Amino acid sequence: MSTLRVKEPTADNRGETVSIDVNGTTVKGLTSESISVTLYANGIKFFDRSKKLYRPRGFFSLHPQARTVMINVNGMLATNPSEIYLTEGLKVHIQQKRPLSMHFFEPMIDTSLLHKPIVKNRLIWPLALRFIANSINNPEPAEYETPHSIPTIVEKADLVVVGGGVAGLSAAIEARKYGLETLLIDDVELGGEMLCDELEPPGMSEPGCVFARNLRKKALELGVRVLSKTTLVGFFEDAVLAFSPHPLGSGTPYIISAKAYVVATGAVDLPCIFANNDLPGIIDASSALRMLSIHGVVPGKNVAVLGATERGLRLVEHLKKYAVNTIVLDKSKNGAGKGNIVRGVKEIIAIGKDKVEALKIKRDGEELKLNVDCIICAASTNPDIKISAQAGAKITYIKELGFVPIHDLFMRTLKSNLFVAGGASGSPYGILHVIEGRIAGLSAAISLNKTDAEAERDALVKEYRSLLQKFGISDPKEKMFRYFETKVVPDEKITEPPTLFCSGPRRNAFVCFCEDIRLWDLYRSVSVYGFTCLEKVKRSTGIGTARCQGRLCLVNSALYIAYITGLSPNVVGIARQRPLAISIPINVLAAMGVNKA
Amino acid sequence: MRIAIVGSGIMGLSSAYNLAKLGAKNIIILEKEYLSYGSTVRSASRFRVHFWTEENSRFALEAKKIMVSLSSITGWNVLVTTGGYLWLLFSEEQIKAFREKNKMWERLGIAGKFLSPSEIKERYPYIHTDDVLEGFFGPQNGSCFHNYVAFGYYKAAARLGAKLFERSPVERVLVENNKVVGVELPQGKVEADVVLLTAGAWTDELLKGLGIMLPTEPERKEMALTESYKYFIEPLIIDLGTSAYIGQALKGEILGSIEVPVKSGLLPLENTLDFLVKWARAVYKRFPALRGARVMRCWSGYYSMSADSSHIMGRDPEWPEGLYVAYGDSGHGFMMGPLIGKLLARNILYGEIDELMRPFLPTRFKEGKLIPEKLVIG
Repeated sequence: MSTLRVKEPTADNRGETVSIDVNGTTVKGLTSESISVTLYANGIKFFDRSKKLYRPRGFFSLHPQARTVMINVNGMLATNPSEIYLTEGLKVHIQQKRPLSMHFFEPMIDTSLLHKPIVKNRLIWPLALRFIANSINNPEPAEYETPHSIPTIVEKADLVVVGGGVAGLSAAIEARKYGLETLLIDDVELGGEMLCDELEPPGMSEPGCVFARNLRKKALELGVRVLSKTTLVGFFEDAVLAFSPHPLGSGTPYIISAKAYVVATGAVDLPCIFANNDLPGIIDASSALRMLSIHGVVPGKNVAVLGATERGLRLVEHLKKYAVNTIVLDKSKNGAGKGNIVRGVKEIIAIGKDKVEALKIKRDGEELKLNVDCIICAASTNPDIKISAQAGAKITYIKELGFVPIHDLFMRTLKSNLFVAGGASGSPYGILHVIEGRIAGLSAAISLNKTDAEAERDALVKEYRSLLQKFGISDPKEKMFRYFETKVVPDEKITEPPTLFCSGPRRNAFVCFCEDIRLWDLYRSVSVYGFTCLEKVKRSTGIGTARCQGRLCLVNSALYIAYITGLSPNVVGIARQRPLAISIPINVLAAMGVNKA
Repeated sequence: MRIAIVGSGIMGLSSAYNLAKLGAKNIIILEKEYLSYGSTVRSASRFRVHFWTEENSRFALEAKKIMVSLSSITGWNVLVTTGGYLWLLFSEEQIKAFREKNKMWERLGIAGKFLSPSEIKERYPYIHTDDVLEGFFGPQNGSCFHNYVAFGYYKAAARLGAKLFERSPVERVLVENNKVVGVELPQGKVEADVVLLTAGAWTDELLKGLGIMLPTEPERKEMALTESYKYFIEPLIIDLGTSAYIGQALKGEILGSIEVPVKSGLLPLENTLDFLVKWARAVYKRFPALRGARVMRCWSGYYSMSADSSHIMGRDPEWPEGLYVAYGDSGHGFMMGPLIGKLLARNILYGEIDELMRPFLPTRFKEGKLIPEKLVIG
């Protein structure tokens, strides 16, 4: 098995070497790695079979909330390999068999409507139903017993910052300076994506990783409390709940109680939509960067990056340092950026049996074939709105920013005591994330009667405005600040979605990896059944209702529907975000004493 | 005749379809959000025929007949299964009451079966039965897919000419000379000779605007859903000890709910951790196999509760001419909806009052002829 490890992780990220068992073979990894990373580093990209079509699946994103693949760990089915870290002797089992019948049935299976065209005869329906229900690749619930008493930890603070990237860290630091008890909750580890940036981010004079590390150190020195590897799962009416999936087999629930919240959950890389885009080996830019910088694992030897965006091109710079062959594919006919870029790409078809092996590109009058072992989606991002929307912020679509919580210059949302910052507010650059985080932290302090923070905030806001000018996103942001005042939803038209690398509604271009929903299903829901609002498309196809809770599919779906109907994405809308952000085992919930703090 | 239907849940859509089928023209459906927003899309999508009162059981029996043939009526496969309902009984009184009721159900041809704890264990090995005294199994009951019921009805009604207007919140019903003349929206007025209020929990407000007081009020209920697992729970299982229930959808998600004390009224459609924990505790105790199942999502919706927990349909002759209602279904509107629409359509067009419908008229409250329904959960 070939290894994709190219360097030793830095000392502060390096865990101990341990061996785990994968389908009977021993694989070495580090305790600092999740199962996903270790397997990927050892060339194992195929983790699971998809739910309805039994297609091979690997992880698309390493983010714990992007639960698109499940794996059997220590006999526990349905475990997310990206949230479990290695321990000595862990046993991983990967299901690789595909039922023979699937070869015959795949073309007939209607994954969204599950059944409709298959059975017309009502009399044989009960039989067909049983067959369909049993042919879905669902696991059995994990069988494990935890003691019926998990202590519920109540965490009280003045301010809770959700997301430990540079925006979240900056917010926590400012709030702490003005004396607020501050708690920072992060899914992965403090530092966010900038911790993975070995180059100088635009507008900054030191490598991103150095900056992020210093910021992290400063926050800890100032006494910001941290819950890492913990996800804020929901704003309930009577409590706010956070959950850490550790230790394996039970997990730890926290009840959070705070006077104000800063949501700095960052942005989500949207999957690109093209033929066979569900093959293992197709990952998002953020995971590629994380694997490379934190774990020293390259995503592949020959890599295709989709989208000649700032993000895509920076990733290429990183990959070049480790002698990875890269090619950038972009839809636009012309644009800035140097190097190995193929422009004017109309259609992409990924080829491979159990993982990506090659790529076919169609552009004006020519067809190219490339041998690649990894495809990275960097064409577009969208703010992660799961938490802010759930907490009560109002969401709108602005072309340059995506679906974004409406906020003002002070980073206030339309819900009192809820602030946003960084990627979660639609800003693309790290330097903006820092200043937004600082403003959000100061605004939170001011809202909690630390009025002496006003002078500092006013100075920062001036700087912020000029930075927005400098980076050319002043117009959309100012537009948003006006919406905050007027509360009138803008009418935005979109052209072809940046993530769409597909000329027609193909049956093998996947929008939802959890439920096997394809572009074809979406297209039919819109054109045959006439549904144009995302809530209805969701209910007729099942999109956004499965494990990843729409994290990867809802924005793409909304933009695609807007594109084919010509409606404003604000009319199509984004579906209501409901708790929980990640699922929690029943035994953990049952063991909780509800302390209404 | 111009007919305006307020609300596009199952009640409004099945009424629209049946009216259109009987030849009514000019039907418009006014929906404040989007198609079938409200309680229909939030329902647990189950149907049953076993009710505490004979009126409800008879009604539900006819409604079920329509439900199971809905696929051929609307062209949308509504995924009907008949996995049954299993009530777990924990006291002698409960057993006695169910035995008493089973005599009535037997007369209607829908007798259920009493199962001893060991029989339950044998049939459903995943249920913890140590403290269960007996179970009552109603094999006639089942599930269907609520979204396709609603969408199918809508498509069928639209084919026959009914028009749906979304994001059109009706603010009040307009009455002149004791006769309905239309409804008022923020966008303007819509003229109509008949106004049918099927706005579920939001109907109270509209009726109040006309000075009509019926003993109904909205009550928020919460539901939770797990990730998908192998399909193994066929019936809907109601634990009468804790008032929790669970069932499994064909796609594999296990869904359920539990009664939690809540203030009545149109509370925000949020969730409480209190509910989630109580439900999880009930499931933990009753279904050991589900302890590792992961709760993925929760949501809430309204029951439109009436004083006797039975639905209200038709009109009171003292009301302004042309005003009809179908609401107050107290949580079982989804399963009754297909028949409510059918009977109401004949009532509106021909003035017919079917024998099944008569007990459910809104006049029953002032006449004191209540239908005290006790089987509300599930």
